[in-house]
Amino acid sequence: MGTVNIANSKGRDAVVGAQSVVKPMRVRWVDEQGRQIQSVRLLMADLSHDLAALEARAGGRDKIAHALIDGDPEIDLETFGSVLNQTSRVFINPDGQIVHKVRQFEIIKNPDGSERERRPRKVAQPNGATETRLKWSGKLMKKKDV
Amino acid sequence: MEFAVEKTMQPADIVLLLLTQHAGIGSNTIIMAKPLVLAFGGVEIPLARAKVERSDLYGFVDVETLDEKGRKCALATLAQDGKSIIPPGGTAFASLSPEGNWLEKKSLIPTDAQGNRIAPVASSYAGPVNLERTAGIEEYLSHDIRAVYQISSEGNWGALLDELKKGTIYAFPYSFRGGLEPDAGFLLVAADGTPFLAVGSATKLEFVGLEQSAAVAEEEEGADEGDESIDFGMM
Repeated sequence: MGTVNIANSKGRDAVVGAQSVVKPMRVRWVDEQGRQIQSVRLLMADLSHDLAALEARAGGRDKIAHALIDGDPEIDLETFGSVLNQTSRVFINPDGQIVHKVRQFEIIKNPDGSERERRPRKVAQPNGATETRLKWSGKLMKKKDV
Repeated sequence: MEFAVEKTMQPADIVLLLLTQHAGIGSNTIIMAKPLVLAFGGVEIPLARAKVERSDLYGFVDVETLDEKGRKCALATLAQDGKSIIPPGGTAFASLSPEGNWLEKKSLIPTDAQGNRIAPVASSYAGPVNLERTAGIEEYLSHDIRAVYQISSEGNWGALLDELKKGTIYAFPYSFRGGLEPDAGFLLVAADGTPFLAVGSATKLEFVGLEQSAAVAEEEEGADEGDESIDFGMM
């Protein structure tokens, strides 16, 4: 459950928890024996085997054609078809390498696609409860009152 | 998509032709939209539709990501091995049996939550859609509309327009490709008389429930009753 610390100007604070409502499954896929099947995501292709990579490796697009007839340079038999479980989203540069430090800009465009405004993107700071603990109000209360 | 393959071409030339067509070079394919045909008052009315996008009205925001050298960056997926970079379209979904065996999609059976088989619905573009049911404004507003199309027709649809201008809303099951569950389609006119097709699904308000009280452990007999105050600073 995600939690958020909130407080008013007088320092009175609380932890608010939030939980998503789980949507009921409306369609279940079963096999011919009526058993629930499982869906998995598979690796189909990666950047090191795409058209640009093959072209660079072969030395020209016309040579890729010969390579495709002679073998399967676009397939990595060791990894393609493997199940993907924990993946991450990353930024890559035009060379296909992971970029760790990026600058982002918001480009506001008119309905016709022309640029109206360009500004650095503001990333909202997360406000979920982290290391910040609730503050003690300093008040002592009777057991019967709480 | 058609390819002009000549008899004199070598296999490598054919593969090269396929590659260039796949990359979108020299492609001149034109896809014509199939009209939605509505049946109203014994007349079949073919409708052309133009999607009304929010960005057409207000514009849109693009996010540009640059590296330290000012080059544009793109989003990709990093596999769990930490080295395979997967471009968009580099993954696929598959269905596996409980034993982990590959299953063809066509061999699977769609069922509802009770295990009853679901009959697929045909595409709304496969044949005329009968306009028989009207909906009230309450029903329309209880739907989450996700697409709006401005519609037009060169057919004889004066009678339908007249009916819509009276404030009538026609409702019908709508499915673009066909599938398991049709969306809800509503035919209605705006205040200026422009006809629209709105497509959405019924909203479902889920009642989460009242906050449950935490269980309170009973105090042991003989607990220190002398100390009446709770010092929150000790917690």
